[in-house]
Amino acid sequence: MTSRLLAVALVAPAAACLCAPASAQALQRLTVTSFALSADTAKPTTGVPFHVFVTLHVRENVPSIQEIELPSLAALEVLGDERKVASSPGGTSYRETISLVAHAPGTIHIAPATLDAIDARDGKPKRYSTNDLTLEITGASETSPAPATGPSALQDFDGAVVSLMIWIFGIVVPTVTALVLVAWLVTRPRAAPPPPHVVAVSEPTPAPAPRDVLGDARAAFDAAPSRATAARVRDAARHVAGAAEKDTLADLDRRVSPTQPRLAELLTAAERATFTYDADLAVALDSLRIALERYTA
Amino acid sequence: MNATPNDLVRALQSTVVGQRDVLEGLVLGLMSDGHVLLEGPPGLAKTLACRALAAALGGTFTRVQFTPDLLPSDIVGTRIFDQRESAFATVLGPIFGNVVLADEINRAPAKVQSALLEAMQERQVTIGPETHPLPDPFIVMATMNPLDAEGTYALPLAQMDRFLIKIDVDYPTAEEELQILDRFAIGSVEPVRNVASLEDVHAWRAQSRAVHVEPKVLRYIVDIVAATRSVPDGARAVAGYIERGASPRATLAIANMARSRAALDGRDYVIPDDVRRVSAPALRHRVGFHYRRALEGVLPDEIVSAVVAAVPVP
Repeated sequence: MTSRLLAVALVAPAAACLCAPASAQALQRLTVTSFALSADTAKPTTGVPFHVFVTLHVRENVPSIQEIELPSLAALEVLGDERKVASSPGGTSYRETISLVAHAPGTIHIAPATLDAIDARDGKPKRYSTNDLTLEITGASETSPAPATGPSALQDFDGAVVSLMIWIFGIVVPTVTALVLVAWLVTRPRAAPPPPHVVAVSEPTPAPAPRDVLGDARAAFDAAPSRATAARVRDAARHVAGAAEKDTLADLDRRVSPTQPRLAELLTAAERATFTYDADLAVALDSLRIALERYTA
Repeated sequence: MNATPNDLVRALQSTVVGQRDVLEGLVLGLMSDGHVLLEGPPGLAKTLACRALAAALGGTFTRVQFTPDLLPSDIVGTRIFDQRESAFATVLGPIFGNVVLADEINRAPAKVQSALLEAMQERQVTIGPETHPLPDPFIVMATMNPLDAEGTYALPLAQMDRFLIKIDVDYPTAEEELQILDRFAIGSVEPVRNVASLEDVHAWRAQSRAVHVEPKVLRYIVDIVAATRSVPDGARAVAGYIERGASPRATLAIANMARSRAALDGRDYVIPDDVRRVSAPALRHRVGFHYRRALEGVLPDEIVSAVVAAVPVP
């Protein structure tokens, strides 16, 4: 467990990448110090819930972190999703815990999560990426081998001692040494803040398709139509329309109406459902449902 | 009469060519129960627009031409001795009208400006021992000419704050100017029809006050006004031009105007677009600018628009 966490901590910054997201003016100005994707087990068992974590730390004290895109988890069943943001004068920590369960054995590859932000150190828009994850899903019977008994157990005793020695000197000792080294590097007094863990790459990591974002929002809205889920649809529709943070409905309408009238209609319906008064909400939600159907038809 | 605010805008458009923002601004001021300051060079139909508004409403219209020798009593009224009655009688001034046009308000000295602005705020005038309420609705439309600074008395920021909005009147486009030629070629302009009553104005105000504003939108308004005091990173380029931010009266003005804007567009809830559209008219005269702005020829609207655009839309 410790070695796996260490591996995540070391791999994540190195895997972060740099590019220029499209809507740079709308991005938050952040100094990203760590951004990682991890799981509580590398070998989940079918039918047994496990967790995937997205963790981020930035130096700025901000109320929320925007523009984090989670990887697709289509091969797994999502049981729940919990986000925690802790802000303090020393910075902001973001932790998202996704509860999952696998139903079939095999290897699953989870793509990196991404964050679009303006690097507060140089003022340039960048896309940060976590490491990716590869999980070996095992069947329920593979995880609990039968205990060793009888004469064969005695015959294996010598081999077990050798394995234990290899384990201690080959893995545990180097791991503890590396941990001590990392702890010293982290806690030693420094004259200047460390450089950002960002690596420039020529090609940006492909962002999730806009329709996927809208699809997720629509699923939430269909499951429980409310002002909150309507607001989520509005955010997704604005994302599809390429909205910057400063764009109002009129800005987007001018942009999309000539070519995508259905999207313009969806944006208007979502605006109403998000901002109207309670007595009008039921009608507004119904209008939004119709606009969604027309857009996705 | 049961007229709508849009009926009034259309009636004004039959007299004034173009200037849609100006005409809508006047109607928004009327709906929000606030006073309007119009600034623009001479000859841009500022006075005509105000006169047309009064005619379309069927209310009383008075006009005061502000000059350096004007006295407060010339505006609010005075008490004169009636020899036949052997008693003092009160003569009410031109401020007792539904629509009052204060033409070239910056040409009168501070004492006179102050008398007008106090009446605007209190909505009543005290002459001698008597206090007289002003008519309802009561809207002051003041004009200023930005070109001739000689012989003018600039309005202090505190007094400018009394105006709900400041409308910048700009030159018409070439197409609009051709229409002006057409319209005036036949002689005098057709008078504006009386399309709305004073009761309609009261109904519009009640309708505007009932417009719903979500807490997220209220927060957006507060953030915009706060951004004039502590300029966000997104508008860092213009931060040096701002000396003083807007007061909470600006916050109230934007909220009221956004409600009226929504009502004018036929909605009974405010969306961020409404707030964005009314922010510049509500802020441009309430923000104190550094002298560098004038030296470098930066327009107040460029600064205000940059600040408003830097605030994320909810």
